[in-house]
Amino acid sequence: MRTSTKGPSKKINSHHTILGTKNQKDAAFSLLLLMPAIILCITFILIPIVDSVKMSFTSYKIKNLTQGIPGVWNNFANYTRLWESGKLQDSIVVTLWFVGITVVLTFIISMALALMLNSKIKGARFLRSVMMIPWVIPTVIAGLLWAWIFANPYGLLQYLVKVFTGGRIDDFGILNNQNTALWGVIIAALWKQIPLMTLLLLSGMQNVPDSIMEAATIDGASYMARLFNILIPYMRSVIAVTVSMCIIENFKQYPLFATLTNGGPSGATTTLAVLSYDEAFVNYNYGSGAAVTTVWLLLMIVVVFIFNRIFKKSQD
Amino acid sequence: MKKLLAFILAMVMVLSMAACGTDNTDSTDKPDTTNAPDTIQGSAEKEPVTLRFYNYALSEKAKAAWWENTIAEFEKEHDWINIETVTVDFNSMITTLNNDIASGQTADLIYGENAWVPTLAEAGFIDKPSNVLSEDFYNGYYDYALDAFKYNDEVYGVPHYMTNWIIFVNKDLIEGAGLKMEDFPTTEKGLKEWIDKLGAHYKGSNVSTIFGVTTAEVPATGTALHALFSAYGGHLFNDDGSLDDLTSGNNKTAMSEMLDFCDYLIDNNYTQENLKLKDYRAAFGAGNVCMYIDQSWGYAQIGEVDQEASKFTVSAPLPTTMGTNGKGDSLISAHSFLLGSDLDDAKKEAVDLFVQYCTSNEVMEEYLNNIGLAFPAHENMKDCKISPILDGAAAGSEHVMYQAMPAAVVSIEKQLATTVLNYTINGMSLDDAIADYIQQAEYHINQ
Repeated sequence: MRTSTKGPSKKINSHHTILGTKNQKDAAFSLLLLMPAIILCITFILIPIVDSVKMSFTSYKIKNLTQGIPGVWNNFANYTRLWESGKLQDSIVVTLWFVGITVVLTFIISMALALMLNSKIKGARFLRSVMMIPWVIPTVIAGLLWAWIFANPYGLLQYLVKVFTGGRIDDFGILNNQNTALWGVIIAALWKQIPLMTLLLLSGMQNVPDSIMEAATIDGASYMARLFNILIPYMRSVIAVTVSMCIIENFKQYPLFATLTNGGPSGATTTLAVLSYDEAFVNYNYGSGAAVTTVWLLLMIVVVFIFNRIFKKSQD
Repeated sequence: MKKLLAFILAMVMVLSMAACGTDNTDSTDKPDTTNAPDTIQGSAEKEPVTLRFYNYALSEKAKAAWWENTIAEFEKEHDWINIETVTVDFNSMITTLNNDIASGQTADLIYGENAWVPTLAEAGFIDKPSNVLSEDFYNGYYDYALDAFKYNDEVYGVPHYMTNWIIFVNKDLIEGAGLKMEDFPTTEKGLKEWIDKLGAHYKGSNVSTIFGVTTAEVPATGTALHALFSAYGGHLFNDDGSLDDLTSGNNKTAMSEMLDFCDYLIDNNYTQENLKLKDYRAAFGAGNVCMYIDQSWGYAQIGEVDQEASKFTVSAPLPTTMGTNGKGDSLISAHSFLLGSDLDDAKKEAVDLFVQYCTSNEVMEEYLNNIGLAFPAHENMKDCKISPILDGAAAGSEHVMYQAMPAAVVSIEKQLATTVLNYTINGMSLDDAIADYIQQAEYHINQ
C-alpha cells in the first residue's frame, strides 16, 4: 500500500521537478542569449528616444551640449512656441501630403510593374535587373541627380518642357515654385522607391498558386476579377509589410528634401524631418528639435497603427 | 554544443559593437610632432606645438592647393609648429566642431565666415582675438572690418580678407547693347534704365539673366538680401541684437523698395526666383548673365566655368542712391580666422604667428588676384595689389555699415528670402509680408 501510493507519486514529482528545472534552465539560457539584443536595444534605441523626449521639455541650446550644462525644464514651451509660430502644423500637413501621395503612387505603380513582370513578358529578368538601379543608388546621390534634372535654367526637365510647349514655357523650374516643389521631391522619391516595392510585390505574386488562377480562368473569371478576388487577397501580408515599410520610409525622408529644396520655397516642402533638422542643427535649439522629433515619432506610430487597423479590418 | 555556439555568437555580437567605438583622443590626420622627430630637429629652444586647424577652404578645389602650400611653407619657416589640418565641408563645419569637441578633440584655429561667430561664441568654441594675437598686429585690423565680428559687444575672430556686396558685370554683353562701363549708373533709377535696355536688347537670346539677385532660401542669400536692404537705407537689428522696427520710417520704406525691386526683376524675367548665388556664378561664367549681385570671391566659381572669364568680367559697386533713403551701404563679409578657446601660451604664440604669416602681402597677393578675389582688411596688406576685376567695385568698399549680430542671425537673414518670395511670387501684400517676416524673425530671436 505504501509502496503503491508512494512510488508513482514520487516518480511524478521527480518528473515535474526535472521538467521544471529544465524549463527554468532553458528560460534562463534564452534570456542570456537575448541579453545582448536587449542591452543593445535599450542602449541604442530606448535610451536615446527617452532622452530625446525628455530634452523636448527643456531649454537645451548649443552651450548646454558643449559645456555639459543640463537643460532647463520648460514644460511645454518648445511645443507651444512651435505651435504658435504655425511651423509645426504646416510641417505636419506637408509631411502627411508627401507620405500620402508618395505611398499611394508608389503602390499603384509598383503593383502595375509587378503585374507586368509577372506576366512572363520577354526580357522580364533583364528589366527586373535594370529596374533595381535606382534602389541601389544612395539617396543623396539620387537627390543630386534629380537636382540636375530639375535645375533652373539649365535642367533637362526645363528643356523638355520648353520643347514640348513649343517654347511657350521656357522658365519652368519645378523646385522653384511653391505649388510644384513638393511634386519634384515626390517624383524623385517614386523613382527611388518603386524598384524595391515592385520586387517585393512580385515575389509575393509569385507565391500565388498557379492552379487557383488557372481554375478561376477556366471558370470564366475576368482579369480584374482574378486580380481583386484572388491575387490581391493572397498577397495581403506582403502588401501590409511593403506599404508599412513605404510609410515609414517616407515619414523619415530627409536626404531628398535636403538635396532638392531644403524645405523651400516659402516652407512648401518643410516636412517634420526638415523642421527638426533646422531647429536642431541650423538654429542649434536642440530642445525645440527634440520636440519636433517627438511629434514626428508619435505621428508616424499613429499613421502606421491606423493603416494596420484598417488593413486588418478589411481582412476580417 | 549548440547552446555554447549560440552563446559565443551572442557575445561576439556584443563585443563587435564595443569594438566599433574608438578612442578619439589619439586619432589624428597627421602624426603628432612629438612622434615626428624630423619636424622638431630644427628647433633647439622651442617645444613642438601642434595646431589643429579646421579649414573649410581645403574642401574647395580652387583654394585647397594654395592652403596646402601656404601651410607647408609656414611649417618650413617655423619648424617647431605642426599644423594638423581638418578638412570640413562649409555647411558641415559647426556640426562637425560640435561632434569633435564633444568627443574630446580640440579646435585651435577655425577658418570660416564672420556669420559663424554668434554660434561658435555661444558654444564657447572661440576666444577673443585680443587674448591671443599680439597687440601691435591686432591693432592693424581696420575697425570696420573687426566690427563684423562683434557679438555681445565683443570681437570674436579676425578677417583674413573681406568684401562688400558688389555687382559683377559682363562687359561684352553690356557693350553689345551699346552701353559703356564708364557710364555705369549710380542711382537705382539709372540702374533700372540699364536693365530695361539690356532686357529689350537680349530678349529671346541665350542671355538668361539681365540682373541677378539671389532669392533661394539659403544662408548666403539671406546675407545678400540683408546687404540689399542696407543699401536701401534699412537697418535690420538694433545694437542689442533685437529686431529694429520694420513697420515704419526708413526701415519700412527700405523694405518696401527692396521688395519692389525684386518684384520688378522677377516679374519682368530679368532674374529667376529662388536661384542660389552658385547658379548665377555658373550662368555668368557661361556668358549668360549681364549683371548680378555677389561677394567678390564669387569669381572663383565663375573662373571654374570659364578660365578666360577675366576677359569679360568687370565689377561695379551698388549704386549710391537706392530708393528714397539708400546710400548703397553694404555689409561686410569676411573669410576669417576664428581662434580656439582655452589655448595655452605656446599655442597662442603659434596661432599668432600663423595668422600674421597669412596676413601679409607676400603670401596673399597671388591669392587675392587669382583665387579668392577680395579686399585687404589689415594694414599689413594695404599695399597688396588687388585684382583688376575688382577695380570698378573698389569704391564701394568705403560704403560699409555695421550691424549687430543676434545669435540666430543666419536664420533671421534667411527669412528675408522667404519674405521676397512671399511678396513677389505668393502675392502677399507688403504689410502682410513684413508682418510675417517680423513674426518669423522674432521666433528665431526669442528661441
